[in-house]
Amino acid sequence: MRSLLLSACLALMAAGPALAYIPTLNAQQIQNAYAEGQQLAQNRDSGYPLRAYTLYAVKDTLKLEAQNGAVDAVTIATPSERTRFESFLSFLGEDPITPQQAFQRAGLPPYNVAFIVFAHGMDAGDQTFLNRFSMARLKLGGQSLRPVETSKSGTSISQYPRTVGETGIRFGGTVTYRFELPKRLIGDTGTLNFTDASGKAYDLPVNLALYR
Amino acid sequence: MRPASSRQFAPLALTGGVAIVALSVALAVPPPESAAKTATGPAFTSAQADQGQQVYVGQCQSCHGANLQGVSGPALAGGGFLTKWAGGQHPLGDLYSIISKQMPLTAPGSLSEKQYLDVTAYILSKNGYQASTQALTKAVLGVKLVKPATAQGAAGQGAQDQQAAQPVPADLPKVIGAVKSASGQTPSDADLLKMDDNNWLTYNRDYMGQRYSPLDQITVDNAAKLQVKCVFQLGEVGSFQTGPVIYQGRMYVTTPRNTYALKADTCTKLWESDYSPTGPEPQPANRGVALYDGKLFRGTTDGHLLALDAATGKVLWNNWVADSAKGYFLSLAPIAAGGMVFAGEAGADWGANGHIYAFDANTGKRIWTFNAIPTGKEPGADTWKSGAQNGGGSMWTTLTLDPANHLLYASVGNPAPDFNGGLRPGDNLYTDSVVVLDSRSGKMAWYAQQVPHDTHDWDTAASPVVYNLNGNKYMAVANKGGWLYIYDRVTHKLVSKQQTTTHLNSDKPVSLTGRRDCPGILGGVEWNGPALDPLKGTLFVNSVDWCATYKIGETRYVEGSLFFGGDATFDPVKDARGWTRAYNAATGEPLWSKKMATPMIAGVTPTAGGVLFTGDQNGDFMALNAASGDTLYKFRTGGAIGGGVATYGVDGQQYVAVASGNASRSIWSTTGSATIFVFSVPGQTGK
Repeated sequence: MRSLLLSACLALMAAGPALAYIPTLNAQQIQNAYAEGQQLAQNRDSGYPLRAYTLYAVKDTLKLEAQNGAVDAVTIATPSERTRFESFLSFLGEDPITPQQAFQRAGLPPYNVAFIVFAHGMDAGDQTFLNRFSMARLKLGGQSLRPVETSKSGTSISQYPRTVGETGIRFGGTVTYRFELPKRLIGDTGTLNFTDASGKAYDLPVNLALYR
Repeated sequence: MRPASSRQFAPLALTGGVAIVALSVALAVPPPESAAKTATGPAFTSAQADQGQQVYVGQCQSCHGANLQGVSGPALAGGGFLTKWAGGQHPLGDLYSIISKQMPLTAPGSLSEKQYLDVTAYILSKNGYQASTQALTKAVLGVKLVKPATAQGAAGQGAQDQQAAQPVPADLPKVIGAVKSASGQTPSDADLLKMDDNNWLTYNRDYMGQRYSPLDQITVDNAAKLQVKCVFQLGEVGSFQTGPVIYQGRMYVTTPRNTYALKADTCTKLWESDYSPTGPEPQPANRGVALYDGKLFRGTTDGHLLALDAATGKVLWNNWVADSAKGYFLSLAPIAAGGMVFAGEAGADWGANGHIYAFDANTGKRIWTFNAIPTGKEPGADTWKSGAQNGGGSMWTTLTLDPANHLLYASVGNPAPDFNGGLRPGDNLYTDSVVVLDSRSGKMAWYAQQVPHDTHDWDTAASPVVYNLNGNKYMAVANKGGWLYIYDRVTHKLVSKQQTTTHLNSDKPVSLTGRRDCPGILGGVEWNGPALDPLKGTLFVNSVDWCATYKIGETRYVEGSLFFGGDATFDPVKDARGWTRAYNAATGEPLWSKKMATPMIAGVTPTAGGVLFTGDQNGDFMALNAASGDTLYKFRTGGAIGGGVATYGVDGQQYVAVASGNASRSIWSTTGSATIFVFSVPGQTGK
């Protein structure tokens, strides 16, 4: 029965998390997110699914095109999604953790969301591109929010093999903007604004009702 | 070992390795044409440039060259450098950041801020920027460089060597320029097939890759009396991985750009042929020549295959095989037979798909191509479930030929991206495989894959050995994953798989928190593979015992999913070791193993005298007892030995030639300058 419930839950996730943002997780919700992560990680070739949490992605994420600036994709991270992610990651690394540990590692306090910007350098030698991202603004319900934390990953070399005219090697990394949401805005819509390392400005629609 | 396909997440590269790749590639990639030009060069004083020169000589010159032309490190002056850094796109701070944070490679960040600024000023001065009365400071590093009015200005020799970039023809491979005839016609096919004992005619001595010399003047009993007969210093510093080829008393050796002919018994230089690249050089390495029909054939760092007159060193033809701006280069020593030259490109780590080619030895024209990475309807294409536009598959070292059966054996390297296997689900044929082709047509006969879906950079890099024993037909190959594989050439089945180095956690996924795994990404068998004593039925293999701590690192958003790569930190290089091992060539049974003081990447050479010649990273040339591994003789050459070790005869005297001075500050932490040492046991003439 439990596996049936889990399968149903995963099917729902795969179809898209047509549930509103959950600002704070109870024990069962943590357990569910953890179980999803463990289940997903059993297919090691499929990667970690983010499509349902993607605000923006270039048409071909394996191809560099000048008009795309420095950003490959922007995803939203919620307490539920990040707990699932940490569970997924621990399974891959054969580093067992409990559901509660997964929740803690997720690092998203109640009423927080984060936006993860997957980015790359502007040329093969550019390792400082993350420093050239602007601060972000989240406009929700007419209110403009500043991030409570902006964190940057390290950079590591990667490839864009479908790039035309060059080898397509770039350093990649992420910028994560974390916001604390006023309680009255958790089901609201708005936009995320920032400028990337190339100077390209982004104004991305955000609808918290779409993400669990 | 579990199949590698069960391990998905693997190392990206060592930090230094990433830096090397990044900078090399950066220099290989032209900036967008639309780059805005925002300012001229920044201010610096001539005193700064002078002081920077002192820093450069002490800290940078050994890798980047006396004239900033690039040696083991990239060029810091000239057209390529300016194209990269002075396109109006880069703040000077980007260059300064790399210099100050990643250099010197052996001690990044160890110089003072003043020294870093001074050396930056020196580099500017060598690229044609004019000194002023105002000093270079960190405050002005935001200025974006544009090319100085003097274009390549006072750039060094590298800039002069770097000829104007030519447009890349759409129909590569293509012969560029005139085709000339060689002044001689030897060695012939017959000479190569029935080799005089005194010669060493291919990278691995013979077509079959056995590396065995029938010479028996140097024996277990007299090897302790070996002495240096002569020394030839090439005057170059950097990668030196050549496998000497010796024919009728002449020796041919290469460096990444240049080719030399010597008298093999006196080390007297007969001629030198220098090559000036016309395109980017992704990795400066070269492993030697093929000698055939009066010609020498060699690859270049910018993706060309040259034919030289063996008598004079003059270029006979130049085939532009592949575009080095896409990561291609030719590091292998070609092999030639039946009027054809066989070669292939490296470049997989840059995402370039490898090919194996046959060229007409007289004209340089391409005869056939085999795609190491199959696409479309080619067999094996279905092992790239997400496509293989940039699948990798390098040919790092020479090929092996079974001339009686017209079969060409090629070791194919790792898939790309190297570590993020999630981007290329499937077995990824024919990476990490030996492919066997009909040498006349290039059609595949059979293949054996050592590592399906590799995520460790565990290339099958070294050449296979083909041999017959006790009426059975075998092929042996060793890989960077630390294994020796012996196959039956009739059934194509694996006969034996034996460990060549330490394995630890090699069948587990990469850890989240970091875990030491063996071999690391530069472990196992590198570019010099097994050798065979056909009389005793013994295989000898050198290997690297060097582990690394792996940790899940790189994450990459691709088509709605997140994929994971990793990071690896090598054990300190001082802790790296190596092995020389012997195996029964029919069964794979280990016979003896000898732990060596350093990683073992040099060639290993058995002889009829019962002696095994090789060398290590400390620069020690060694003669071992082939029956036991006991050291019979050792001589410190002063430079790391990473190339071939060849033995031959001239006027009745047996000699051994060793390529010493494979300087690699970035990876192996080795030094030295390119030098050929020739050894002999005096007084043995004619015996």
